[in-house]
Amino acid sequence: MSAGDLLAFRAGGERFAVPLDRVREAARPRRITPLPGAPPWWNGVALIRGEALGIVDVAAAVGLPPSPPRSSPLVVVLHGCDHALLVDAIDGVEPPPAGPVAPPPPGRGALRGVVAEESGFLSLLDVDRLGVRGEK
Amino acid sequence: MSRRPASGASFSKEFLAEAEMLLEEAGTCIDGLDGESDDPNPAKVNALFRAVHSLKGVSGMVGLAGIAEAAHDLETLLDDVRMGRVVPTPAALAAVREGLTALSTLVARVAAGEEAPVLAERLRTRLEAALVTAPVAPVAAVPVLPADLEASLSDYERHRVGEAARRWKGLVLIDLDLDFDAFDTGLRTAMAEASAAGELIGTFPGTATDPSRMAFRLLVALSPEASVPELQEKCGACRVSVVLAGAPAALPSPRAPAPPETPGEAVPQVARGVVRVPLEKVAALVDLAGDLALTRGALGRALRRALAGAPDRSARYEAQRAFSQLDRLVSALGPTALSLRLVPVETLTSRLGRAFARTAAALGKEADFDVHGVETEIDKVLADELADPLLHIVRNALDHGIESPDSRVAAGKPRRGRVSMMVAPRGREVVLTFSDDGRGIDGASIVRRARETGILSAGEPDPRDAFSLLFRPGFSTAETVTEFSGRGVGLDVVGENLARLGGRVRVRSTPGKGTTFEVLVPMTLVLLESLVVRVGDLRFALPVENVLRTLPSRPEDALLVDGTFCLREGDRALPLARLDVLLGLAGQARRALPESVVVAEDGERAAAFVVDSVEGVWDLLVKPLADSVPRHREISGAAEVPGGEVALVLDSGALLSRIYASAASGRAA
Repeated sequence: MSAGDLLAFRAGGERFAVPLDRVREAARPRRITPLPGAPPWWNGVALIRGEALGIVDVAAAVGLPPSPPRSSPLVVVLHGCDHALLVDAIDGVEPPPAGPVAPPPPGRGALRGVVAEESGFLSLLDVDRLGVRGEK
Repeated sequence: MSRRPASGASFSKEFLAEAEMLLEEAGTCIDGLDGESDDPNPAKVNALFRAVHSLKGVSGMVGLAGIAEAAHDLETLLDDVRMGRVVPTPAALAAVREGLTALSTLVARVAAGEEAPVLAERLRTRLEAALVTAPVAPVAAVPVLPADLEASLSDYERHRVGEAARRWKGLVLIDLDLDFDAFDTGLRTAMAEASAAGELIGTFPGTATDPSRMAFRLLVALSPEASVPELQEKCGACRVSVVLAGAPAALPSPRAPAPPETPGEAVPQVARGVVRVPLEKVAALVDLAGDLALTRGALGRALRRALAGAPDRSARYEAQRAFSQLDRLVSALGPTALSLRLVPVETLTSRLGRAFARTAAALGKEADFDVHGVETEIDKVLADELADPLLHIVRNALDHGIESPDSRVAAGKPRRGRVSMMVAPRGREVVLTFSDDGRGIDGASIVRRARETGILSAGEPDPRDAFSLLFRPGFSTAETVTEFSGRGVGLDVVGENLARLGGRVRVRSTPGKGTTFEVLVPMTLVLLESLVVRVGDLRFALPVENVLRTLPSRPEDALLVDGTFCLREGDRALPLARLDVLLGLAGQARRALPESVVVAEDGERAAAFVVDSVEGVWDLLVKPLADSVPRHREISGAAEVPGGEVALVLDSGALLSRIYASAASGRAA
C-alpha cells in the first residue's frame, strides 16, 4: 500500500473511488434493515462485526437512481465513520489518478472531483459529506 | 456514566460509616471461623458473604468502582465456599483475610480523601491461588419438605438442606403462630433458640389462623446434641415437626442414582442461533419460574387485601415480604437464564483447527495445532463474534511466526512447529492464549519500523509496550502482504473487534523462541430483555422494563376523548397511536390487520401504541446507532433477534413524547 492509493468500486453503473487508507473492510451483511425517518439515499442499518452501521446507497447519494434491493448486499466499511457504503461490485486497489481531477458535473453530490478514463470517468467520493448531503 | 461519585464529604461520611461497620462484621465472622476449616459454621460463612455483598452494593452505589470490584472478587470466592463448591482450607481462609485487609485499605484511602482508589492488581488472581475445588458430593437423602416451602427455598437454602441431609443431621420445621402486636419479639426468641440448636436455614411466612395473628416457619438443621422436645418448649407458642430424622454419622450415605448415559451427546453441537442446553440448566430455570409464580400469587393476594381499603398491617407486611422474595427470585433468574447462552469453546476450536491445517499446507509450513480447555464456556454470541479475530491470530502465527521446515532445522529446532491454544476461565473473563515456537518478534525492530512508516510520529515517545504498535492501523499491512494474513484485515481490526466485545489482547515474544497472543474477553455480554413487535416487515424492540402490558387490539377498548383516540386502562384514558403512523410506515405493505396493543411507560407517563403483532420477549445484545445516522429519534439502536432478523430498538422516552405530541395535535385539529 502506498500513499494516495484508491479503492475503486461500481455503483449505479458508474465507477467510484475512496482513499484506501479510509477503508476498513468490505463486508456482506446478511440484511439491511430500512431505517424509518432516514433520507432516501440511506439504505438502512446493518449489523457488521457487532456494530450497528448506517448504510448509504452510493448511487442514490450522488444523484443516480437508487440501488435495487439485493439478497446479498455488498458494503464498504470505513474508518472513523458511522456509516458504510452500499456498492454493486469492487474493482480493486488502484494507484492515484494520473490525469487531472476535474470538478464534479452539475447535479452530482458528495464528490471531490472526477477523472476521465478510457471509457467514462471515475468519481472521487467525499466520504464524509456522503452521509450528510445527498443532493437529490 | 450515570453513576458518578458524588463530590464532597457528605457521601463519604455515610459511606465510610457503613463500610467500616460491614468490614468489622466481616472481621468478626472470619475470626469465628478459624480452626473450623473442616466444617465451618455455615451461618458465619453466610454472614461473611452477606457483609461483603453489602459492601459491594454500597460502594457501587456511590460510584467507588474499585472497591466494588474488589468486593465482588471476594464475594465470588465466599459464594463458592458457602455453596460448597470450594473447600474452606486454611489457605482459603487466609486468602479471605487478605481480601478483607485489601478492602479495609481501600476504604481507608477513601477516608483519607482519595476519590476512587483501585487495587494495583485484581484481587481475584491472588484469591484463586488458594482455591481447592470441592468434589461434587452426592446428596444422601432428599428430605421431603412441604411443597410451598420447597418452592420458596433460595439456592443457598436448598444447598444447606442438602448439606444437612448429606451429613445426616435432623431437619425440623418450627411453625410459629404469633399475636400480631408482639410478633417481632416472639419471632426473635424463636430464631435465637433455633440458631442455638443448630443452623437456622431460613425463615418463611406461614399461614396465619386469623388476621390478628402472624405466622412464620423456621427451617432448622439440628446439631447432633439438640433435642426436639426441648426446642419446642423454648420456642413458646409453636409446633415443631420433624422433616428428616438425624442419624449417626457412621452410616454410609446412600448414593443418588447416576444420571443415565447418553452416548453421542458428549460433544454439544451448536449451530448459529441454536443452543443445546444441558438438562440441569433447564431444571434450574423451571424451578425459578415455579418459585416466581408462587411468590407472585402471594403478592397478588396480599395486594388485593391491602388495596381492599381497610388498613391491614399484616397484608402490608406480607406484601413487603412477598416483594422482597420476588426481588430475590428475579435476581436469580437473570444469571440462570444467561447461563443458557453459554456454549463450550469447542465450537470455535474445531473451526480454528481446520483453518490451521489449510493455512499450513498452503504456506508450505509443517506445524501442529493443539488445544487445551475446550470445555470452557463462553457466551454464544461472543463465540460467533470471536471466530474472525481468532482465525486471524492463528493464521498470523503460521505466517509470521512459524519458520519454514528447513530454517527451523538450521536453527536447531524441531522440523515441525507448534501452535498451542489454551482456554481457561479467569473470574468473569475467559483467557485464550495462543503460543507458537516460531521466530518471535523483536520489540526494538517493531519500534524502528513504526518510526520508518510514520505510524509513530517524530514527536511521539516510544510506547511502554512495543507490541501494542502491532495493533495500530497500518502496521500489519506494512508487513509483507501474503495471501493469508494480509487480506485487508490487519491486527488493528482484530484489536478493534476485541475492544468492541469488551475484550483486549496482549502480546509477549522472545526473538528466536516464539510469540504469545493473550486474548481476554468477558464470559457474557450485557443483554437487554426486550419485547419484540412487528409492524409490516419491520421488527421493533422495547426494553421490557418500559412495557406495562400487552393486550389484543379490540375496537371497544378505544375511546374518543377530545378528538384523540385513547385506551381505556382502568379508570384512566391513555393516549393511543399506531406505531406505523408515528414512524411514517403507513404506506408499507401489510400482512394483516394490527392485532396487538402495547402499553409503555417511562416512569412518569404511560401511553399505548398499536402494532401488527407481538413476536416475543428475548434478551438482546443492543447496538446503539450513532447520532450522525439520520432517522426518527424514537429509534436508538439495532439488535439481532433469534432467526437472524434485525430489530430496531425503540427509545421509550422519545416514543412516549411522540405519542403525546400526536395526541395534542389531534386535539388541535
